[in-house]
Amino acid sequence: MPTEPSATPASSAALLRPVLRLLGAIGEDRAMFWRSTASMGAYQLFAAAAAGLSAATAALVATDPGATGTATLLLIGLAVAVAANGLFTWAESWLSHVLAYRVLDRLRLRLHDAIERITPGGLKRRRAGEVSGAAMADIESLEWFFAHTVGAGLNAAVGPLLVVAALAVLTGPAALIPLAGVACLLAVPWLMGPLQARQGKRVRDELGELKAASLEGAEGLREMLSLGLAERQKRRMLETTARVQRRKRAAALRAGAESALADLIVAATTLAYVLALAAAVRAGDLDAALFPAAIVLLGAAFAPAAGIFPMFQRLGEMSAAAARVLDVLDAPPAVAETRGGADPERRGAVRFEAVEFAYDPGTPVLKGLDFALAPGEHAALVGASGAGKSTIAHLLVRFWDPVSGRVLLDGADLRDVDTAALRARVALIPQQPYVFRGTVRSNLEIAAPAATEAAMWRALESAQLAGTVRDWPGGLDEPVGEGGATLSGGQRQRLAIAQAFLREPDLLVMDEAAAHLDGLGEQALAAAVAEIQAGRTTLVIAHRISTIRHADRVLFIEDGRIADEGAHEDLLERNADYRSLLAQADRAETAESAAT
Amino acid sequence: MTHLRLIPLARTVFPLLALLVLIGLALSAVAIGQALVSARIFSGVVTGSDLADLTTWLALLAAALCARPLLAFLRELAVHAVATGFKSSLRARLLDAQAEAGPIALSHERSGHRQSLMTDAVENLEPYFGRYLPQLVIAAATAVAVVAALAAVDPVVALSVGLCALAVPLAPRLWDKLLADKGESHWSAYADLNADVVDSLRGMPTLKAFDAAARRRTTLERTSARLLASTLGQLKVSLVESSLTALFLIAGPAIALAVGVARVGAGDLAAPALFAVALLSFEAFRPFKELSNHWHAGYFGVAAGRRVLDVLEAPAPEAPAAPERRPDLTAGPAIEAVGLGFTYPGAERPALSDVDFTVPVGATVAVVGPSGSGKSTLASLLLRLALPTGGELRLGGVPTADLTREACTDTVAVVSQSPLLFAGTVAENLRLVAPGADDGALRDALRAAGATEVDDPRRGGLDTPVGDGGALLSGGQRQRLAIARSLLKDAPVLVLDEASSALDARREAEILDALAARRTSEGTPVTTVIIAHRIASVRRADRILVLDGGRVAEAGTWDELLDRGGLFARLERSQRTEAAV
Ligand SMILES: Nc1ncnc2c1ncn2[C@@H]1O[C@H](COP(=O)(O)OP(=O)(O)OP(=O)(O)O)[C@@H](O)[C@H]1O
Ligand SMILES: Nc1ncnc2c1ncn2[C@@H]1O[C@H](COP(=O)(O)OP(=O)(O)OP(=O)(O)O)[C@@H](O)[C@H]1O
Ligand SMILES: [Mg+2]
Ligand SMILES: [Mg+2]
Repeated sequence: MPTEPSATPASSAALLRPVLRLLGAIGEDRAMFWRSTASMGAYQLFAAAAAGLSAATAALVATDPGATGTATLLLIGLAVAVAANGLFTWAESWLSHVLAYRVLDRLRLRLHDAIERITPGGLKRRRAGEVSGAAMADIESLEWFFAHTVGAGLNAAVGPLLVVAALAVLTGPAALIPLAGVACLLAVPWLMGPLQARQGKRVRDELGELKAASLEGAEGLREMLSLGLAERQKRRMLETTARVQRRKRAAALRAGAESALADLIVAATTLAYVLALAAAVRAGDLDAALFPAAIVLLGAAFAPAAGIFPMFQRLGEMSAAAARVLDVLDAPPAVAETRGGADPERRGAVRFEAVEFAYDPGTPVLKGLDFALAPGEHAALVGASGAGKSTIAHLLVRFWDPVSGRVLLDGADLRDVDTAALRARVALIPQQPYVFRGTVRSNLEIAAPAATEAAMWRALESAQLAGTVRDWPGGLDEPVGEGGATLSGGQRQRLAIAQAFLREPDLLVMDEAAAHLDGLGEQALAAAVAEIQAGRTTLVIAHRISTIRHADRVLFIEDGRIADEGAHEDLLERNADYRSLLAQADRAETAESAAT
Repeated sequence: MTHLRLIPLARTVFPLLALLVLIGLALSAVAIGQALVSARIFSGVVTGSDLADLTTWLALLAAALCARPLLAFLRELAVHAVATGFKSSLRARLLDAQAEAGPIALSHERSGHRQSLMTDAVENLEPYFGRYLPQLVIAAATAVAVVAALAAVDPVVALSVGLCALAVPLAPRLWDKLLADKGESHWSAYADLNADVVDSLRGMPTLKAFDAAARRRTTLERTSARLLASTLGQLKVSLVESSLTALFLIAGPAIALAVGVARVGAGDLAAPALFAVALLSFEAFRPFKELSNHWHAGYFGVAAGRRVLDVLEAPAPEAPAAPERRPDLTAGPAIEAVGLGFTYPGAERPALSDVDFTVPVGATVAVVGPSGSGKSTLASLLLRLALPTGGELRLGGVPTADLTREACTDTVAVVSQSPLLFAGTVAENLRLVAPGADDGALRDALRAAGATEVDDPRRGGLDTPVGDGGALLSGGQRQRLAIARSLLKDAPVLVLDEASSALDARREAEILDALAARRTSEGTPVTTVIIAHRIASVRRADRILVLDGGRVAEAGTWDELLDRGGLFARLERSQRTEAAV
């Protein structure tokens, strides 16, 4: 299931756009960027000088074997040039890499911020493996761009011009030949741009697919093994590997063709230049002693362009990686979080006013929902699976905003309340809690970083988990696996309950919090909630009668609206739909127990 | 050179590697040939010989210019064949190791680590195997050949070039160990950051709800800073190496030239031979430059490769004693536990101990008990995700220890407590277990699982996307889709682990009714194990097993257990009395 095809850049200019947009990330390291580019210019200059000097020496010795004094001088100059070249090469490598990796570091954090911004809405349609791939492998691959391409690109533009100017001084109009050669050389990758863009995108997309498939296999190992999918997963990974390799090979062959063309251009230019110079020497327009130096300088003219050539050849991949990163960075947030804003009096009154909500236009989930919870009220939200109960819970913590209508907390529209303050006041125990790898303590600290040990134990006690944790050899420091892998289903859920209790919220929303508890644990939990939330508002989402019963009032939702509300017993009496949803099994029990 | 330990990882592609070396040697030979021809042409032009005399040489130059791209193409093809070969074989071995170990042995590990090992670690080895390793041989061979050729021109020059060429690859070996350590810490920082990002992706709703995202970012900043520091630390070392090589590349020919000049000065060498000296000595060092480039690209892979080795060399879990045996589910007990005990790796206390029970073929047995009493553990053991650490668990008369994992998972379908859907559509998720099923069969399964609403034509019917891990569906819809998936698996034993906890009572009753008295397509009556906290759900079970603290507290029929007045009666009462207040 590959990613949706986004538009492939159709021209070389479009190819550059994503990478150029990321150039801004160099930001505060601009000084380092210029130093690194200058070092690159310097080492290329010294390399050219070294080559020129050695050629001059050779020519001198060849034409005048007796001039040992001058030859020695030239050799000393050569040694200096070689040393300086080494020094600047090192400086350039170091600076450009430091620069590149710093930029990558910043980009990663920006991507993490984007993940935060688009959670949860924006992540559900992306595969976590691809997003993590964008954060790691795609960003890592941009190292090549930041360390090897940007500065080299500038040098490739400036260096040859300088050398060609020198050649023009030395050899006159024949210098136009190398100029044309360098221009042809650089035109090759430019003309191949669109093809390169397509290939680069395919490579990165397939690598993203590999990332997604491997994370799915790692996280879903239990499910895959239980369903007997191990062989299928292997096949899928190997097929994706083969596809990645095919795409890479296509790109490599294109690059090979380009390089061959480049070699041809260099050879043809060299030959043409040699012939032109030879003719000039014969015609007496050029001193034969200058001949070798000119040839060597010709090499120097090509060096920066030949250096940038392989960089340009990977622009397609860079561009595709940058586009994948930008795709996450640019994703719009599901809600615009509020900073500052109203801080209503803390009572815990909730009101839904004609709330309409749809995840996708065309399939409304809530269709004009109206209800209110009085401060301190304990209400239950009941409805068939898929009725929109969790959606209501998510609206309360502002994971989403209503399409129309308003959700109010103590009279203030949630959109006007500081989002952090809102989430401090409303605690949600999600239907599928996520437990971080770490310890019991580290998970509790996520909910309340300043909680004392005593407070933690109190919260665990109320969540009916204290006994279990006490029995573990590590106690609060008992390690827990990723996603709570080392806990039982009920233990995971109770840990989430303890987290919410630690927050001491004005409004507690429990989405199926007791679904994995046995009857005795459920009763004890209900009693604990009654005690902790006394005077504070609680909204319980539940399917089990034994949970619903504890509520002061039941809100029965059906077809996106409140179909009925009232005490559980009353609803059982008067609402046939409600009875049918819950009672079937339990009515019988009720009748039975009434009989005994 | 510690990294040479990695070489066996590429054993499936050794012949291709040899081919790669041959191509590389041919390329070097052509390059040297081209250098010699160019030298000849230059000295010809300089000495003013007629162009016509140079025709042969010019033709040779053209031939060299054509041969090089052809060989380069061949090399790319070979490099990619090598890479495809070792990547496929490494990934296959890593996946096998992961599947063999199973989720229980890996429950303390991080998915993000395994993801980066499977993808980036293997990808990063490509420059090492595909480029560096062959180039090592090529560079050595070329250096020898060039020195030999130079010796023909002048032995003293050849000697000095030879000594320099020897220093290039040997000098950096002095700090190999340092580089290896740095590489190690770089890879571990990279893998940690990847795992942290995966954690963030998974836990971000929780973090946001608790307003803990900013604190999370601080953690991530630290990991990222550690990656930056270790990257730069490693770079410092490797850059010294590549700068040294670069230096040698320029210094080597310069030294050769200086020696040559001295020799000419002393009259031991003819002056025009200097062209050959300059060009040839450059060719001696060029392969080393490439070697250093490839090393730069490949050393990220080396450290990761060592982690790959660790995983592959880890001892494999016990193999089945009688892999050819299949469970027999036509007669006798479908499941039988005898003194069954299980302790999780690293745990102090057993999750199950001394459990004895029997489930006849076609029966419906319920397992109830407080949270943490070992119910899901039992399901894992039935799937052979781990072997009993005490006693025996028999499936169709055969101990699971004797069976292969496939035999167990073919026999048992489990709807797990928090079922996972895979990114894709409803139909894709269902077809995972029944690749050949037509839409009708999928709809039948959805109906039996009470999940017809996920086949909503407004959202795309069977092609409705379910999102990452099923995130676009409600909790109950995910559960019902998982039930439908397990029905399509058509296994003779069905285990529902809290599979209906997010369903309303009506829907649950409908589903359990639909499941009663099912037969597989082969006609075997389906044996059902229901794990449930909602006691009313197990009313219809033939037998109920009550677990407490990993032991069987009691067992019997609904009525027997209620009469006993034990744990079950208390559990039942806690839900009933509540319902009847
Ligand atoms: N992110 C989403 N994108 C699109 N549709 C969604 C998304 N999340 C939920 N839905 C759909 O919205 C409807 C309401 O979902 P919700 O999770 O609120 O149900 P619920 O009442 O909590 O059900 P359950 O009892 O099964 O948990 C369902 O039909 C579900 O498929
Ligand atoms: N991978 C693991 N490593 C170590 N301990 C584990 C692991 N998985 C589960 N446990 C422990 O084993 C015990 C039994 O867990 P199990 O999941 O079987 O309980 P359960 O009866 O299914 O409970 P629940 O009703 O809460 O789902 C628990 O105490 C749990 O903490
Ligand atoms: Mg829900
Ligand atoms: Mg369980």
